[in-house]
Amino acid sequence: MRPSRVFRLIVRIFISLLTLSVTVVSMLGGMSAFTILLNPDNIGIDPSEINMNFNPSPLNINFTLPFNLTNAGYFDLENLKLKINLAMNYSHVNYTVPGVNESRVIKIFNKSQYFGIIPKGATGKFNYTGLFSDFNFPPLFNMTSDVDWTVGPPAILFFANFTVSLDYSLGLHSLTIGFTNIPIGGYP
Amino acid sequence: MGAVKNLLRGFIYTAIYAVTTIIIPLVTFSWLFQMTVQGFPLDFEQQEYQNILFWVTAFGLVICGCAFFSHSSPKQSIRKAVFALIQVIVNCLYIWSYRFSGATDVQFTIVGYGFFSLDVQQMVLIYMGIYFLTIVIKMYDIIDFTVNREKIRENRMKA
Repeated sequence: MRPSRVFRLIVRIFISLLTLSVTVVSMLGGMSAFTILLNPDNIGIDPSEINMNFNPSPLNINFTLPFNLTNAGYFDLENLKLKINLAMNYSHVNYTVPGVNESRVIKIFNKSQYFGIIPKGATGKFNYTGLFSDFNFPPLFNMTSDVDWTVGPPAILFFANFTVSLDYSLGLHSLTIGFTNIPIGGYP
Repeated sequence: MGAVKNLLRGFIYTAIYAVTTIIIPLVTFSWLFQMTVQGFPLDFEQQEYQNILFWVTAFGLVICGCAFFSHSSPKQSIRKAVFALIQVIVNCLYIWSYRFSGATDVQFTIVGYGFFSLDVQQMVLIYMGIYFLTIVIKMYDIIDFTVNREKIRENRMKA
């Protein structure tokens, strides 16, 4: 065999090994993502477990959400992030025409929290925390006077969007799962 | 006899490329678009689905054509090297078509519940890197086959 062919063969083997390893990692990563998705027990986010705390008043709202995630795949799961958007639906007091209120939806919370890595085969148990300081009420909104407290109970209904995102196989796959417009309770 | 053998090799490789670049991706995408997640059916924009199928099939067919000409050419011939280079370049476009057709970042709607998306753009970029190395080796082949043409012919005659 000519020397140029020997050199080519060595480079070719190197490229083939590279291609093979990337293909295997890609396939296993893809399979891992679907393994997590297709088993309901793997993603343990239950909106009904959200603990809304209004003490001492709704002006000091905060909450925690315990959740767990099982990494049923073949690689460690990285950059696990849970993002929660909260909106509240209430009857807005109409000062111009008393008695003719309108239903309003305002966004009050938008925060992402990172939970790091879950090794393969392990189940990560986490607590998402939303503190009062994380809430962003619209300017000029006054919860005491703008909400018609005679409606209900509950006078305020809370809805949430949950978005879980994670990276797999050294970031080759990024998986995002979202649950939208989930009712999570009301006040009072 | 050699010509028939080359033709046969060309057809076999065309079939292999048809399976790997057209049939397997189409079956995978069809499976994805009919999947249910935790009992919920998935919704997907039809136009995006058609786009993905079109580009996968279009580039897949061109790859199959190149594979036939490349693998049916005599060993270490300039023709083989040129077609192999064209095939790798079309392969790059094929991989890139996954990106611009939207197949690398598909968002599925879980009807009445939410959505999920799988982003594999990073993976496509790594494959592009590997294809760059392959282009280099194919160009090396063309130079090698041109420079050593006489020697290759002599060896072919001896065989």
